[in-house]
Amino acid sequence: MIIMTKFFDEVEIDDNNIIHFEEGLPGLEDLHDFIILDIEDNEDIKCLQSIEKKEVCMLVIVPWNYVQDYEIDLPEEDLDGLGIKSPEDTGVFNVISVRDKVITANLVAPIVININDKKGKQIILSNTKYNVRHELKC
Amino acid sequence: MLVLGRKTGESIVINGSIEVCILEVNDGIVKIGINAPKSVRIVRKELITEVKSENIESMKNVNDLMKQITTKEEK
Repeated sequence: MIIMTKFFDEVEIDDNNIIHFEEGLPGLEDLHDFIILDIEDNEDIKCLQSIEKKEVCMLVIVPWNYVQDYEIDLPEEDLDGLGIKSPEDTGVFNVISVRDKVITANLVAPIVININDKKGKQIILSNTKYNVRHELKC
Repeated sequence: MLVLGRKTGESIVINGSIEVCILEVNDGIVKIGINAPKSVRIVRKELITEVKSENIESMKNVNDLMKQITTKEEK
């Protein structure tokens, strides 16, 4: 299908790549369908684009490209809810933001995806040493 | 919102399986113990609020962020 996007205007996507967030995202509970889009010439940063609202697009990273020792303990009930049975089923992304040219990543609430079933959830980790705004050197 | 008063040592039971117990009250800080099935997620509310705010903030600044990362690529 063709969708309208924030940065790339009309984009043709494979419907099978649409990720369904049953609970939406924190702060965006009404939006349930998203897709990951690549950014040309940038392998490390992707767009998490809402299918339902063109304006809603967040930039995300694969955390281990920036924080090699990033360690997360995902609650079993969240993994069960996503149908994730092993690490091979899992994709993890973190939302990044910028303030005064400083780019930070939310390491406390990773976006976890079952890459086979295309189900996703932003999981808030209650027991971590990480920061909602972890500064990235990039 | 249900509002009730409890003394130290007293508990409330929610939905038959979640028990909230007041363990200690000291200097305006209430120490709470929670017994709940493993499937029940318990999170400090301010953490949820913080994550929500950060998502919204991230979207607000996404144009600047996109500009910054794509400009870097051209260097």
